[in-house]
Amino acid sequence: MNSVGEIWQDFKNGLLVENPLMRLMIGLCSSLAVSTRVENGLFLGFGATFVLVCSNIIISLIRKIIPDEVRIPMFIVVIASFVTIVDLTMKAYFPGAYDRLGVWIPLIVVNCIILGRAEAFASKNPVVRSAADGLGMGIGYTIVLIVMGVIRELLGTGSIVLFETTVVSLGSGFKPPVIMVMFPGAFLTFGLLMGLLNRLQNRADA
Amino acid sequence: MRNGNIAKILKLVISLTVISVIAGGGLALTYAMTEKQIAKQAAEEETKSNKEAFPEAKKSDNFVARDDLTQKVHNEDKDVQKVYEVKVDGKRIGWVVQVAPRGYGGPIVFDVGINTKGEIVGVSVISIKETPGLGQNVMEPEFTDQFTGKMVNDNLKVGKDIDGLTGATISSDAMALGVKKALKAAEMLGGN
Repeated sequence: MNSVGEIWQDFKNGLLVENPLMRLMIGLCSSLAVSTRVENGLFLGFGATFVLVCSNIIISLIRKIIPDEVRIPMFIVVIASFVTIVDLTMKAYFPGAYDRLGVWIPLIVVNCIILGRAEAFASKNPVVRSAADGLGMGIGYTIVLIVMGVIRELLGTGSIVLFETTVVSLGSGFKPPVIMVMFPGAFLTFGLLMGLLNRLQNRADA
Repeated sequence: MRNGNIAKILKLVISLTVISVIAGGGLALTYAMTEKQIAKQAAEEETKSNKEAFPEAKKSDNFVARDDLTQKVHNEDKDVQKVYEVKVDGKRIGWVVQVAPRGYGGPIVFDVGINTKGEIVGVSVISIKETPGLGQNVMEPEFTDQFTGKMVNDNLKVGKDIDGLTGATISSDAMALGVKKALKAAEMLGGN
């Protein structure tokens, strides 16, 4: 019953068809706030993916013994535990990124994507499929964060810095429009990206 | 009916208790595993920033945290967070004062190194939550180097004595204010 095709489908679902940011439009707040740098997106994306996969697995495992009335508090306990694990681990091994992401790491707890997938998917489906769903959703989230980060960091600061090395630079002649790393830049980038995706989708459908 | 209700409530209580205990156990384990590493990172960060603020002192044990004096200056000015005595071969050559003035995105925490003559020898930012590409640039040497050599009676007005960063007035002002506070704290410490 757990055919490979089905699992692949669950994984792929989060990447594009039901991409949490671009299609379901949940968990937007963190994505708009941290996408000022590619590195931020990488770390928050990996953190959220880890929490998504782990909490989906645990919730799917205990889905039959969870009393319906207290399922939400139980989900939150599971999610919050994994978030704290991410929080402590990142603080210990990546203090620079931890410092820059600040409050957004603990806020993964209330990221709608994670509770949403727990409620909509993991509490109704077997373990392997739930893990695939979590992984797909997490990677879908991370990809959008990185794409937005690339656009905003490159245009807003004139270069992309990863792990303290400059990867791409537009040269000193380029005067970066600072608005791109400020809040309006986040909305601009997000809206245009979504418009582009819709257009491509329409083309493909037609 | 009543018995059914009690059984139901018990079931809810037990499920919540069990999951909380398991989660608590898991967290305790993670905490125990990361605790040392976190403390080590914090200490390294502190030493690194101290050395940047006071380049003349090269070893980590050149910096002695003076909690007694910290208390004294902190009571005078809440933005002054920590005081280190800089000692080379048992002789004091200056202070490192950690300040945390309010910037645009929260406090900007930074170290200011001040020698016994009362001159600034270095400024090193520890934690900053300003806008990237804008306020965050106050941590670059092009900005912080402007404070080198300044003394407590020097004017530090941004736009006149210090070149502020375009579009980052609040962050620039906060840095200048923090430096001023550090200088005042060092003056107060004087020959202690």
